Amino acid sequence: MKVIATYNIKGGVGKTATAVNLAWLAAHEGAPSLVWDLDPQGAASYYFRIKPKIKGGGKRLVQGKRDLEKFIRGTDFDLLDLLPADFSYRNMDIFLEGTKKPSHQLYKLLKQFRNEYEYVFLDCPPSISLVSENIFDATTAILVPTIPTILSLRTYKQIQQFFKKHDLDTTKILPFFCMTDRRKKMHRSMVETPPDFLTNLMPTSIPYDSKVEQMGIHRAPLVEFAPNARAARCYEALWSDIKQHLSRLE
Amino acid sequence: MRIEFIVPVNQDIEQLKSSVQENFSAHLEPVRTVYRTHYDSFDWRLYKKNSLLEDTRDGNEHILVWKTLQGENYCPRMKLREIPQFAWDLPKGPFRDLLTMVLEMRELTPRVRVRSKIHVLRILNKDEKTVSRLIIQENNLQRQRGIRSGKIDNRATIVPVRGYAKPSMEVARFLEQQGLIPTQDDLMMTALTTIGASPGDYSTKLLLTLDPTMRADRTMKIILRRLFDIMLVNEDGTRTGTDTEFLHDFRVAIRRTRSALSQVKAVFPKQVLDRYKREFAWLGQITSPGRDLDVYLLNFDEYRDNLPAGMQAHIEPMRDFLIKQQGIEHKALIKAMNSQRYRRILLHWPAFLDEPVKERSTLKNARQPIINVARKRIWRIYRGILRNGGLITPGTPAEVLHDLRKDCKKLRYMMEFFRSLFAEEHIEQLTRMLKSLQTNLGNHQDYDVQIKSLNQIGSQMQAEGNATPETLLAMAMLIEGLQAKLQQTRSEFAIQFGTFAAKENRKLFRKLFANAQESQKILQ
Repeated sequence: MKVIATYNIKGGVGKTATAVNLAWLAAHEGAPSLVWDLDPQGAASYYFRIKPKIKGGGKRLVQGKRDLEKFIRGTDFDLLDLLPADFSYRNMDIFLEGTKKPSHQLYKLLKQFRNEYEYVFLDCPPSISLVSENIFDATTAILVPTIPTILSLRTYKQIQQFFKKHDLDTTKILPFFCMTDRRKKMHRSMVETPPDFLTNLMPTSIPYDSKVEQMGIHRAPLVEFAPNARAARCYEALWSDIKQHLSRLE
Repeated sequence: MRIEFIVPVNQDIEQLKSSVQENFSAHLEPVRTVYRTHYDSFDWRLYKKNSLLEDTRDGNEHILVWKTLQGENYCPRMKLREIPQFAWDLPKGPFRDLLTMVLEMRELTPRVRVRSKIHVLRILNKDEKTVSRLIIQENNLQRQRGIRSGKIDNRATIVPVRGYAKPSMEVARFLEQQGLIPTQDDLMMTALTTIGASPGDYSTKLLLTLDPTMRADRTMKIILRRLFDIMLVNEDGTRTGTDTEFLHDFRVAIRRTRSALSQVKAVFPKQVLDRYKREFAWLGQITSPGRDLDVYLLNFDEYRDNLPAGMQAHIEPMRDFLIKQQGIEHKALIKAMNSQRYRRILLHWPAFLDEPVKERSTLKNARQPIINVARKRIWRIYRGILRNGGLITPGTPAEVLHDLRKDCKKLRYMMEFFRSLFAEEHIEQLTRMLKSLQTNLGNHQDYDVQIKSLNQIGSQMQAEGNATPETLLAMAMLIEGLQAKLQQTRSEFAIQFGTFAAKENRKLFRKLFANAQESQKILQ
C-alpha cells in the first residue's frame, strides 16, 4: 500500500482536485484506492456526493477508539472508496495530542488497510501543524501542487525548511506545477526553468482549466466526465510520472 | 458481499429492468456486451487453491479478477490489453507474484467462455449518489473446441456500495418478490458443469483402489491403462510445447510404464513384454533431450542470480543457445510423434491392455494374487537398496549413487502402484522417508549431469562461435557453484541414508512387505 498526500500550506492550489483525479485514475487502472478527506471543508467528500460527516465526531475515530473501516464509503466508481471529512477535523491537532504517539497516529490507523488498498490518497487541510507531521510520517510521497508564482515558491521553501528542521525525509516531497497559465510570462519562465530547490519536480504541469472548476457541478473527477480536457490529460501524465517515481523507490 | 440471483427463463429482461426503475431511483447505463473467460492451469492449480481467475473483455480491455470460490468481496484485479500465456508475463506487482507462486511454470488455459449482455442499473439516493448496482446478465456459452454454443442461466447480481448496505437489501427483497432465485454458485462454475468439465479432476497420481486378490496380470493391465490415459491427456500439450509440464507428465507416465513392465515380472508373455519395453524405452529416449532443455531454461534465472551482478549479463547467450536447441529438439520430438512407430504404439498398446486376460497362463506370476507379487517385488528392491546403499563410502564413484537413485525410483513407483493394498499410514510414512533419500540422490544426480551438460554446451557454443570469453567465464563460475553443491549433497548422503535405513523403518518395511502371513491374512 502506498500512501500519497496532496499537501500545501496554501489553500486553493488544487490539492483536492489532484487527490480526487489521481485516485480515480488509480482505481480505473484496477488498483483499489481510498481517499481520506482530512480537510474539514470536505471538498473531496462533496465531489463524490458523500456527506462530510462522521457519526459521533472525528475525535474518537482519529484516536483509534472507533473502527475506521465502518466509516468508509464506496464512491460511484468501482474500486474507489472515500473516508469522509468531518467538520470536527478542524480540531484534529487536539485529537492527535490525546494519543500515545501523536506524530505517528495516522500511520498507525492506516496500517490496517495495507492488504485492502493499493493506494491511499490523503487530501490534507492547508496548514502546518501536528496533522502535517502525521501526514509526513505516514506517507510514501507528498505531492505539493505549486502555482508558479513567487509567493507559492516561498511557501514551498517553508515546507522544505520544516522538513529539515524536524529531520524528516525531504525526498518524499514531490512538487509539481499547477494552475499554470501560458499567457503569463512568469508562469512560462518558471515552468521552463524551474528553480534548483524544487528537487524531485514532476515533469508534468497541470494547466489552468475552467473545466476543473466544473467538477463541483458534475460532482465527479474531471478525468471521468471530461477525459479529453487538457487538464485531464495532464493529470493522466502526472499520475504516470508519480508511478514511475514510486517504482524507482521500490 | 455480492448477492446473486438466477433469472428464470420465462422472465423478460426488459420488463425486469422497467419494474426496477419503477420502484427505485435507478439510472440505466448503456447496454454492453462483454466476453468472460475462466482461466486455470491444465492441472487446475487455482481451483485446488479454492480460487478462480476470470477475465472480462470489454472492447479491447481485459479485466482479470482473481476470486475465491466463496465470492468474497475483495478480489485482486488487473486491467490488461491482453491476457498473457504465463503468470510471470503479467505486469510487475503483488498480483503477478502471488499468481506465479500458484501457477509456477504452467500456462493459463481458457477453460470456458461466456458471452454476456450486460445491463447495469445504478440505484441512486436523493443526492444522486450511487448506493447500489444491479447488474443483469444475459449469458451464452461461447463455442470453443469440442463445445457447442448454448444458453446458460441469466443472472442478476447486486453489487453493494460500501457503507450503503440498506439499498442493496431492498433491491434483493424486490428481486425475490419478482421470482428470481438466489444462488451461491459462481456463473463460471455453472458454465464448467454445463460443458461437462470437472474442476480439479486432473492428477498424475494413480488413484486406483486395487483388489488384493485380483490376478496380477489383470491388475497390471489396470495400472498400465491408467498410466496410458495420463500419457494421452498430456499428448496435445506436449505437441504444442509451450507449457513444459505436459512433456514432464507425459514422460513420467512413460517412465512409470517402463518401471511397471520391468519390475513386475512373469505376468505378460515375453514377446509382448520385449516389444513394449523396447517401444517405451524409445519414447523415453525421444522425450529426454527436450525435457533436459526445459529444466535448464526453467532454472535459468536461478543460475543467473547465483552469478555476481557484473557477470549476469554474460550468461544470456547461453539462454539464447538453449532456446534455439529447445526448438530443434521439439521439432525432432514432433517428427517422432508423427511417425508410424508412434502411431502403432498408440493403437496396439491400449488394444493389448483392454483385451481380457486369458484364463490359463503358464507365466509364473500371471494368476497369482497381486498382493503376493507386489509384496515380494517391493521387498526385493528394498533389500537391494539397503545392501547397495550401505556399501557407499565418500570415495564411491558417482555412478554407484546414480544406480542407487534408479533403484529408489523403482521402489517409489512400486509403492505408488500398490499403495491401496497396504495400510495407508504405514505406506505414507515409508514414502516420506524414501522421498527424503530420493531428494538427496536426485539433487546429486542433477548437479552431476548439469556440470557435464554445461561443459558440453560450452564446447558446442564455442564451436558455433556463440560464446565470448566472458560467457565461458560465467559458465565456468556456474560449474564451480554446482560442484560445491554436489559436494554438499554428497556429504549429506550418509545422514539421509542412515535415516532411511533406521531400525524402525526396517521393521516397518519388513512388516508390510516381507511377511507372507500378512498376505495370507488379507487373502483370507
